[in-house]
Amino acid sequence: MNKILPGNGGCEQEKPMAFTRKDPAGPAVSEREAYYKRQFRRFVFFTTVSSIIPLLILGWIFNYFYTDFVRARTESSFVTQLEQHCKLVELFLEEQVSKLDLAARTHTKKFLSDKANLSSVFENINEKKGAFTDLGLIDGEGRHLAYVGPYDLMDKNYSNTFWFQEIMTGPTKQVYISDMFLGFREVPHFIIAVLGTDGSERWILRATIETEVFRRIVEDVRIGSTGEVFLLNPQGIYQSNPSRGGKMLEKSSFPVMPFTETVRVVVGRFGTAENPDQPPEQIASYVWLNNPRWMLVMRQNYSEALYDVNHVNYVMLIILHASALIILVVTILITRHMIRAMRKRDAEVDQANECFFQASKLASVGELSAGVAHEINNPLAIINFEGQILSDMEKTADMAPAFREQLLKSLARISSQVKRCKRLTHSLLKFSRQTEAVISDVNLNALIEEVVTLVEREAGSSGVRLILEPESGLPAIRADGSQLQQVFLNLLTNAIDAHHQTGYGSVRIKTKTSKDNRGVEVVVSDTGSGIPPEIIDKIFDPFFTTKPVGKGTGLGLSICYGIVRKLGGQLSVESEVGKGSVFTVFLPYEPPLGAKDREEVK
Amino acid sequence: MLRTKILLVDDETEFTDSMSYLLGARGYQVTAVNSGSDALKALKEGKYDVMVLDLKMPGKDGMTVLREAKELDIFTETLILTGHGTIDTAKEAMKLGAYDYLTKPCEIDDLVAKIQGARIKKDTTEKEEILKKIDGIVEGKSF
Repeated sequence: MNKILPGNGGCEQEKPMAFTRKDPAGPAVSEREAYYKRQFRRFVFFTTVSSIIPLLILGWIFNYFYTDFVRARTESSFVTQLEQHCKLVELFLEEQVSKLDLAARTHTKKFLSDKANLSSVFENINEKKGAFTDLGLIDGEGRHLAYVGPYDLMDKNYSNTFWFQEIMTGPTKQVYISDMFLGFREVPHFIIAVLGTDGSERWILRATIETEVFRRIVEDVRIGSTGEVFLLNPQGIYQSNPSRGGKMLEKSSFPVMPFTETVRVVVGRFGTAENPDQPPEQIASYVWLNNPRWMLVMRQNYSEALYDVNHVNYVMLIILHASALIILVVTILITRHMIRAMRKRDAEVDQANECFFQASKLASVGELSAGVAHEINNPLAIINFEGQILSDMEKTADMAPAFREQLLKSLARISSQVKRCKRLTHSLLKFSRQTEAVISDVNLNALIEEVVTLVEREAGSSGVRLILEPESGLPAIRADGSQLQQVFLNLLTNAIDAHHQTGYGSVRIKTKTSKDNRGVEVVVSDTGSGIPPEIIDKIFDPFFTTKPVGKGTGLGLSICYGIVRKLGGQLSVESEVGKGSVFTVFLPYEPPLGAKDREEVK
Repeated sequence: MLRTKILLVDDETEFTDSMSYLLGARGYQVTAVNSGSDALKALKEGKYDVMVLDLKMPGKDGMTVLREAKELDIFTETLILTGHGTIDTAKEAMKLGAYDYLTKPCEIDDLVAKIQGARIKKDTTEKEEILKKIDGIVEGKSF
């Protein structure tokens, strides 16, 4: 248990007290803690909201516009790329058709039915690129008249094939490009057939396009690692080998789109052979070829196509989150700092209030005391004199002996009670008069020795041993000697009275230079009954006493406190019930300016 | 020595009554008044050896009475008897020329002792003054 009641200059050393005076350690503290927590949350919330929300909005806006821009650009690139590619495929097919057409127009059936002639024509049209696998001449009945190529197809009759019937029954100028089919040779391929005429006689020049060459033409587009280009016929059958799963002549999961001459772009989950269960979102562009009616499709996973924007978004998100985190951390740190400053300031205010409270309490008690003393002293004086009158008359009057005896007893009681009241009013007067201090050099060791002499007799009769431990060479201080005498007299009397129950013990009075060398300390420690913790806060309050009625005024320690405080010192107490109390008086070498009401003239 | 003439000044009649009785019983000639202005009036009208003066009174307070009494050409010594909280006021009264002070309540014997002292001082001052006057007259003649 430790309570420090500082003097004028010592207020800042006091332990921070709580909100309200009445319950220093009770709900007020938790109330204030809750207030700090609430403020903390509020500061953090508002700062965070006001800084992070704009950041997020900025991020979203940027993200929205950038994504939009990149999507539009990606789509337009899909369109241009497919347009170019479509031209390439169409041009290739047109070239093959025109070669074949030219051969059919410039040669007769008779000429071509000679295998050597057909072979030389085949070599001419197939000169560089090797786009044709074979070349055959077929008559009106579907029979091979001549054939150049790796397969043995001379005995095949084509009269039942769909392309044969289509050309023979169609108009005179007829070119036919078939879908991919397996045909007699059981290998996926497609053919180009052109109609030749010698007068009224119709014949057909038929060539197979080299599948490998066509595949290379179709797939000659670079579109990332998830991209692919393929051809579908109107039934949705692959006319080329898709590079991401699936095979030529298989049904594609990609839907057959309505006919369009311009390139269209769609986004969706079309399904792939690679990942049929969870198809990725894809961007696809498609266009229909004129002849044959094939749909050229280019598609790519959306995530890859928009990799740039995703990457930028990703980086931005990292920056965004890092910024948010930094803001949050900085906010928390700053707020914590602020709350700490607030807490410190509040504690200081509390201390100031506490000091002010104690001071104003003393001041108001002083004022009250002066008034009360005056008001009581006048009637006391009258009572005293009236008693005196009775006492005077008793000497001359005749009265019964019993009455006289009782009268004398009563008069003695009146006199002693008046004296008791006078002690009280004079204590009050002393208390109210402590504002004035006469400052001079005080040798504390000598002063305490004097006080000890004064109480020696009392200590002896109470069975208390007084032990004086003065520090030799203790510097003199500037203070009011007579007031200090009163302080130590009071402390020593209390210390002796504390042994009332046991009837023996010791009181130790020690003087020393204070640790910080700002002044002198006098420690009065006793082995008495000690002060219970529940009242230790009150012992310096005026009129607080534990002594029986009439024995103490309750002003002693309050006066001591007032004097020490006035002199710029501190009066503190530590106590343990049953072991004793230690009162420490700190006095500075020089009193504060306000204390010097009067300098003693030497 | 003639009977000491005392002027009691206190606003409480009960107090002046009992004190008058006690002092009268002890052979003093006592006049009691209960206000500052009455006190000054009494001082102007009659000769008093000692004035026992309370400081705190309604109307003219003790301090004013003391100050104004000093203006009068009299030798009356003043004894302050106060129940007032601040002894400082009593000390200030001493500076103004009061003989001594006592605080209420006091013992009649203490009061009597102080009154005796005041009477002696008054007599001494008066004597000195008269001697001074005589000296003045003598010196004035010789010149």
